[in-house]
Amino acid sequence: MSRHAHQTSRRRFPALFLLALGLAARAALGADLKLEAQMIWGANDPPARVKYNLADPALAAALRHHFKWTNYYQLTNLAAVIPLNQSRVVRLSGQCALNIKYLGSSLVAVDNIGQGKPVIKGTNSLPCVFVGTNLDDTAWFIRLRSLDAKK
Amino acid sequence: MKHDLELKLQAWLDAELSAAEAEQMRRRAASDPEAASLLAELQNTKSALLQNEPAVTVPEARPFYWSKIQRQIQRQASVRPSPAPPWAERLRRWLAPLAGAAALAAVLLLALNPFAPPVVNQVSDMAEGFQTRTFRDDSAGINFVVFHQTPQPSDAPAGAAPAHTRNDGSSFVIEVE
Repeated sequence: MSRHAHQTSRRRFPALFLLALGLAARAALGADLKLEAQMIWGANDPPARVKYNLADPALAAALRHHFKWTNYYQLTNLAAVIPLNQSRVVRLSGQCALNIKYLGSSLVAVDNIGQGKPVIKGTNSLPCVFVGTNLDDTAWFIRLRSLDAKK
Repeated sequence: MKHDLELKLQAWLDAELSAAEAEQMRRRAASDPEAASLLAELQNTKSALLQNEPAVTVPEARPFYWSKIQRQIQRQASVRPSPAPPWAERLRRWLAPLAGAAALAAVLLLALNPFAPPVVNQVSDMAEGFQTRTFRDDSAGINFVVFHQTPQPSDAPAGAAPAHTRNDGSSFVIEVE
């Protein structure tokens, strides 16, 4: 290696090191959130009478542990990418939408919007599940989780 | 002949026995032909060695000769340099404890996980007429936020039909029949 090439290589090393450090910090902070939003319906109706697919068995088991309904069906499953400190509206149904802001480190600020009006606002660590009951003794669930953490 | 007797005869010859034992050996050699024969053989061997051993003359006086040897030993011990360890060996000596400490720190960090984000599950605001409850399922690692509308007297007029939820996959509508 010539002296010039050697000096160039020595100058590049700190730059590459800083670049790697920056990338690592960016990855650690979680610059973008790859979010999965699922809407689940909890009911006692047997699967044969319901046109929706059963929800993820692990999630269904967790829900069954806390709630009275026997079966949990997945109505919608959406994915969104939310940059750090930015918000995205995720519309799960004609009546229900979420305005989600990613705060970093698996933390989200969520505005639940029902029928066009803000219903509940809060800050939650992912994964989280919002639960509401219907008047016909069924329930709906919205699960938010990071697709990166899913691996 | 017993081995002990052979040794004692040899010791007598070398004048290592007490007077009583020497006398005992002398009588034994006089009465026992086999002992006498061995004694004669040992005497011959001893005299042959004494006569043919080359005389070595120490160049210096004995005390001076030994002190010279001692000084030589001390000089060699003080002069002998310890071999300088190669740089890789020196590096290894530094890095081995550092690597151990780093591994220990990594294990502690993983165990304590101080960089793990805090778990937050809070409601800051809600619409009028709603109630909320939050809890966490630690085994599933899920935060739950349960909310429902408190029944309002105006929502359930007397004689109203029971409500039903219609969900067609795109909307969730509470219908009143």
